[in-house]
Amino acid sequence: MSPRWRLIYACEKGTSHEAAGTPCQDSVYGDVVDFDGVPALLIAVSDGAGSASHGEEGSETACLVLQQAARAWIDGTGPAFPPSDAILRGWVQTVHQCLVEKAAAADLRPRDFACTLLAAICTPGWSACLQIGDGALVARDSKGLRVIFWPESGEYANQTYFVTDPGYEQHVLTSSDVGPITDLAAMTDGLQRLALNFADRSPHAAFFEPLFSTLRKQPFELVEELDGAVVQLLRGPAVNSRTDDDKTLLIASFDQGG
Amino acid sequence: MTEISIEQTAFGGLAFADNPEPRCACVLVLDNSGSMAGHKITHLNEGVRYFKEELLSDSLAAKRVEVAVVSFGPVTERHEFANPADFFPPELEPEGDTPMGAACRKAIEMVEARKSVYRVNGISFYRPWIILMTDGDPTDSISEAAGLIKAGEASKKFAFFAIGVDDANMTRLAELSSRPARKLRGTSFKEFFLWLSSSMKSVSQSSPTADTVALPSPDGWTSL
Repeated sequence: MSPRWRLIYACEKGTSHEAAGTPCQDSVYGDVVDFDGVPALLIAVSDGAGSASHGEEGSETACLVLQQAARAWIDGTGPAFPPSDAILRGWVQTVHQCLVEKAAAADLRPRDFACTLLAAICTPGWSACLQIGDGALVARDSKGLRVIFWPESGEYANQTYFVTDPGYEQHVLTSSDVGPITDLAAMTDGLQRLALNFADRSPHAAFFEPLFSTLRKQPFELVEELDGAVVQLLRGPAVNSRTDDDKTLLIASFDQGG
Repeated sequence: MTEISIEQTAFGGLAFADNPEPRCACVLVLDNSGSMAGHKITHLNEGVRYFKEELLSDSLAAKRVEVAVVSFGPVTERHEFANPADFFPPELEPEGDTPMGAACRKAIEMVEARKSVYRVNGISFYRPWIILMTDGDPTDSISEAAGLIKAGEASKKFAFFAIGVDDANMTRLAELSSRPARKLRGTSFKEFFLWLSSSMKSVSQSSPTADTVALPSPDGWTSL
């Protein structure tokens, strides 16, 4: 059997947004792309700012434009090497410009579309990641499970950085040499405090291991059924008693096949 | 129905990380000078007790807000920072004069010290709030405190709110505070503390992606 990825994800509205009647402002994209015969996992997650009037549209646009930029790069190259840090930064720049233009066209300010952005592209031979603002990418390589970029917030707990910010470049984090990984998780900040250990800045294994092992055991043709289990998890009282924010969770696991 | 139960239990075995809650420090700087005697101090004490109860009634605010009290005069730290459950509202009695400047400087020191404690312990936090309530005229110089407050507000080190009661000198309060000083309507201390607890709930529940926090309207307790 050829190598392949199992991929599940869901976005759920936070209880505070439920109460206020505002939409879920998180967005998620995930797909497995054929990269000259190699299966490449391409994912993007974005959290629209609660204070942004068009945060939902911002996060949707950010995920869409990011995956378009990544696919355009895939179409023009081969899978031998990962995208360089300059290329990854270029994708973020494309998202920034697109949101600035979208704001201008609607006679709004870029901050009305404020959102964070996390993305990853993973092939059997390498992975590359990027992030601006909070939320987290967690990956397992030969050395174990780790947080790719520790979520960046400002001085206060309710401040972070957005792809729409004027000085956003200073807060773009990229890594083109993450190396081959076997598991990947992405989340918005709504889940951060439940899934990461802040004291030692590590992934909380008891959160991730059951997710990954359940996903790995799922028959390939039934993987999509687990999307519902992610929804149940995010909607459940256990999660909602710990966070009232929108939350997104994406889980992917690589299967060597053979 | 089997499918649903499989979905519900698919990730049943996972456990959450146990991180300290982000904190929201709030210092009450309360006037207990001689002129507060009578109804004013009674209602103020009652208001602070009510503040505690309101914070306790909200599960996230109960975990995240920390309250401290400075009274003046003389300037006394009545209560160190504590969660609502461990906060025991002091019973203030009318005492001396009105050293407002020194009281505000004391509150600023306490806020900065608390932030250091948070940082050392890896606890994230929200911008602290300092609330001054007075019915009088400062009996000490307020110029140093005013400078610290302006600088602190400009660099977002804390948010400072000045509330005048009864015959408070609103002009001096305006000199002290970068935000407009507000006048308490009569002895609406309870209404004020209800507003303050609602505001603390909003702040302590604002997510990192809400860089501006919408506060409730102060119309219930202030007359402009």
